[in-house]
Amino acid sequence: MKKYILILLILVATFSLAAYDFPYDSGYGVEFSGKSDSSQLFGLSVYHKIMDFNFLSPGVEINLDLSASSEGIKFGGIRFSGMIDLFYLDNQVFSFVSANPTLWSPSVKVGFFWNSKFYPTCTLEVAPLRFLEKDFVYEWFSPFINFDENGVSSWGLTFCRFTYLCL
Amino acid sequence: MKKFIIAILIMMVTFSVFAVEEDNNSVFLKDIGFTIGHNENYFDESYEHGLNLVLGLAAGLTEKLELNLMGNLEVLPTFIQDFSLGFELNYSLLGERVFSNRNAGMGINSMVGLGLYCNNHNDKNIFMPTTVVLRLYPACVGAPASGKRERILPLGLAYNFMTNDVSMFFSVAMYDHYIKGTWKTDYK
Repeated sequence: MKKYILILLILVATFSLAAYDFPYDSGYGVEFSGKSDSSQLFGLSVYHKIMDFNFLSPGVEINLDLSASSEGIKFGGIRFSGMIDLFYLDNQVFSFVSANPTLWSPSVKVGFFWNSKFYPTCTLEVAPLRFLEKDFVYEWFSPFINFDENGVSSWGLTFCRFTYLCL
Repeated sequence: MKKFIIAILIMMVTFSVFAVEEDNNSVFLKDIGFTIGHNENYFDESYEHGLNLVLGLAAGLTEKLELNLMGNLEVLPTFIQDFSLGFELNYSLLGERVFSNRNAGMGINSMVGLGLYCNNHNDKNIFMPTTVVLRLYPACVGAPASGKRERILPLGLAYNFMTNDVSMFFSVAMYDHYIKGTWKTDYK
């Protein structure tokens, strides 16, 4: 056990020494997604990166979903996710998409989702097309699934999420 | 059939009005780009709620006028269960989108567009022209010369002249990636 803790401490220290120096760790954002149960969601999110590493950086995100349809806008649910930024790449294949230099940083998010009736489910989202700028995080086409003890309850695709980093 | 002919006539007259302002220095097809974006229709039961994507081609006709060939695909809840194909003519409202000389066009602009779409939203369920659209692009950031353009929060009205339905549609964003007429490809 001691050995594991020691290895973990060395790894954390090494990652920290070699980490990117991001100016901001927290921000807020908007998102738009569609779900398999014929609903579309506008979301507001708050994001905080817990630690800066060169890879496997942990963070947290809270999302408030609003469901939009011809009948109006209703409460769609709330999500609380822990996330890991897998890596950061500057010379990357998607640089042609953006006018400014961006880091490619795919992430995996795992957490809990309470739907409009506050029924809790687990949620998993993968954001393969996630790009970081100094002040912004852009995510495109991120698939997600919500599942409970009976299996997959719903799934969908986040078309875009724009997060403004300010703190 | 009468309605369809009237719709075509209205569109031809409108397009002609736009054509009057064409500049003598031709910029016809000076810029060509691909479009990807999002679109969602409201108040029309022919469209399922979920996620619809727009794929298309944007080509410049004059300094202020451009042609968009657009496909609207349903991604969720059922992948490509419903799709529309059509075209739009967009007119820039805040200045030239491109110039005939080497100057870049306006980096921030607004556009208004008129278009015709084909889909099977009609009584016979056959793929045919059914819908006339009027779309406003309130904020277009970027220009063909810069190689990229984001059209933010476009919205508009659609009139299905086969079923007499009027619906509203809205997009979060559309992204244009230009392959011709950019500073990289044509301004060296």
